[in-house]
Amino acid sequence: MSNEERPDALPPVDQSAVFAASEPFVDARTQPWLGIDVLADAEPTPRFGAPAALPRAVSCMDIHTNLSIYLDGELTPTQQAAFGEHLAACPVCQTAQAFQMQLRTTIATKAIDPMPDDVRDRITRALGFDLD
Amino acid sequence: MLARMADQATFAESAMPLMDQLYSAAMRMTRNAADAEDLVQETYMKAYRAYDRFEEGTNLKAWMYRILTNSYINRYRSKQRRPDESDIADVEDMYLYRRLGGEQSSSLGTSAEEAFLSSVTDETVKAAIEAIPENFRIAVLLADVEGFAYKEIAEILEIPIGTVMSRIHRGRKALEKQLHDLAEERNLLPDPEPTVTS
Repeated sequence: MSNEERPDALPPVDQSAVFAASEPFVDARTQPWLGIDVLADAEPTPRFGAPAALPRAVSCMDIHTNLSIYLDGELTPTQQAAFGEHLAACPVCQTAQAFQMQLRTTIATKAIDPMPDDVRDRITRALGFDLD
Repeated sequence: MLARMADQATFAESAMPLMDQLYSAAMRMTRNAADAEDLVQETYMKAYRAYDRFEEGTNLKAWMYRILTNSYINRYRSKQRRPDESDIADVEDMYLYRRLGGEQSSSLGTSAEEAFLSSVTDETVKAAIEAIPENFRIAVLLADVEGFAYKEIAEILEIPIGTVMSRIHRGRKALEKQLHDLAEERNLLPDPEPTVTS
């Protein structure tokens, strides 16, 4: 195996298996690619200042660990819906969600370099196109 | 000859508007303007030559990024000493949010965190992205700056989707830590809020 592939030396994961609908919800044991064990044994007291009486279906810790996948829309439809329900009811997770969304916007909008016009012209000419 | 001309017209119309985006991505990959310019030019020349093999109706943007990424890897990775990327630091989830005190703030106001993100400069964001190891950097760029779905990134990078998820997940956390550390170095972090007593 080549050197640069080592960090990702995880078995290829079939997403449908990872997020099988029969699984209660995200479980670190079925998500080896996350390399996270906090969900393996859910703590009775959520570290994240969560309201105590949420249904077990999706915990604040689930959100905490998997929010970025939820925001990517890459959970299963069932899980997307369950995460959405939790978020709608949980102000603590809403605040974290708002921050992560703003962080994404920041990254997407502040890492832009406009192409210099002379370079654009150079490439256009190299391709044999007419400059307008 | 006629077919070629038709190709040329279609290519100009559909691929040329992507040049700004590709240039930004090339800047984050190569980390300097001269190499980014060459990389974008090389990408366009290759894409134009191969355009007759591009399947009409499939994702042209993903196809262009695949050429860009491959060109980058072929041309520049061999020049550098390969950084050992197996040791990317394991960063906790929501690193930046937690460091900014997000979990302590009330649901009504997150002004310090929001203000921090509004005030962080373009240059800091770029430097933070450029500081993450290459494999992770490219995956995060494709997801967060270019807006590709995991499946598209898997196709662009020709790696399994599980690897894409892993790289994005770990790369984003590394990016948050870089942003935090750079902001700290530059004294851009908000002052810790005074503890309110009764």
